[in-house]
Amino acid sequence: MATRLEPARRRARLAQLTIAGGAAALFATSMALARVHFAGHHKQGATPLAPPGPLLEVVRHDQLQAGLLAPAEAAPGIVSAPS
Amino acid sequence: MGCEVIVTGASPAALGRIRALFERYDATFSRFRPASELNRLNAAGGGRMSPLFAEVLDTALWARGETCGLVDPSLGASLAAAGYDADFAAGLDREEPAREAVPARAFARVGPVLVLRGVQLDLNGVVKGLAVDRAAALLDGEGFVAAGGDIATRGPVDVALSGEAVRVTGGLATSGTTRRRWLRAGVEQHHLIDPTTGVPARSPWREVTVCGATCLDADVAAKAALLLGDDGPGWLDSRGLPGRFVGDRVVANATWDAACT
Repeated sequence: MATRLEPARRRARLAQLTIAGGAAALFATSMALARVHFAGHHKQGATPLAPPGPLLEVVRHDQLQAGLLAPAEAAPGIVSAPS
Repeated sequence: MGCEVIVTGASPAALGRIRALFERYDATFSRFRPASELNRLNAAGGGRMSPLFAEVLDTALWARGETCGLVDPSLGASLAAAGYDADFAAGLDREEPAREAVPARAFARVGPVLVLRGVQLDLNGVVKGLAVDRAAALLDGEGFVAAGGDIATRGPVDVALSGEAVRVTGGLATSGTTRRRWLRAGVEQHHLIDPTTGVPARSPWREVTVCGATCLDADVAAKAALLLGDDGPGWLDSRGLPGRFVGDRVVANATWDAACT
């Protein structure tokens, strides 16, 4: 009886290892495929969002704003002198 | 602030608020009042700033960024070295030469705490323009506030310049080297410091007038344009700012000409 049980246990352990190994391999393959193909999955390291350089240049450019200037229409009420 | 302030279009109550505003700015940012917050922080190498001081410092840093470092708040030691170490009314002419120049230096701000480590701040490159704008916002209706020739308007105002008159809506400022001048060992000095050298700038222009949306915009741009020398008119044009330059001859940039002809 003991001689028949021992080979059966070996076959059972082998079957368990085969199933566990197969499952691990299947999981790793699925993850690798998901990384490559799934639209929402990160493929590269994340980088912070940043506005493009030309836009920043425009924003900076516009910060010193011009006023309205025209030829005088009446006698000046005030004088601008160097400060 | 060492200059006359002219206000039109203000009720007596608004005038009182404007007077209090200028007094508050002067008490906080004067280089010549020992108890001013500016002097306290400069002497202590930094410390905790009041909300007003932090706001004006941020404005000065904005101006530095807008002008690629030309209008820099860290030039207090340079001004003192050149001899501007007392109120102008006291007279600044001296027999001894100017001290060694101190170019612009870095300092740090950590939230409300300022770390100067030997840097002497001078925020007067933006204080007057900012105060004039704030005061104009307190007017009851149309009018203007002018401090030492820097003007913020509510509605159009006709302004006289040397040899020309223009109608301005927004702000107008004139920066120049003809007014705040003094002698050190016979050498002429003035208050517009070149941040790269730490000494009074050499420029072909004696006066630069700029029209801006605010007095602060105009004042910062006028200072930078004067320091840029021959590149000043084009620099203002590239930003759509009208500028008028007085040197050996009077030059208006293309934006000024387009507005006034």
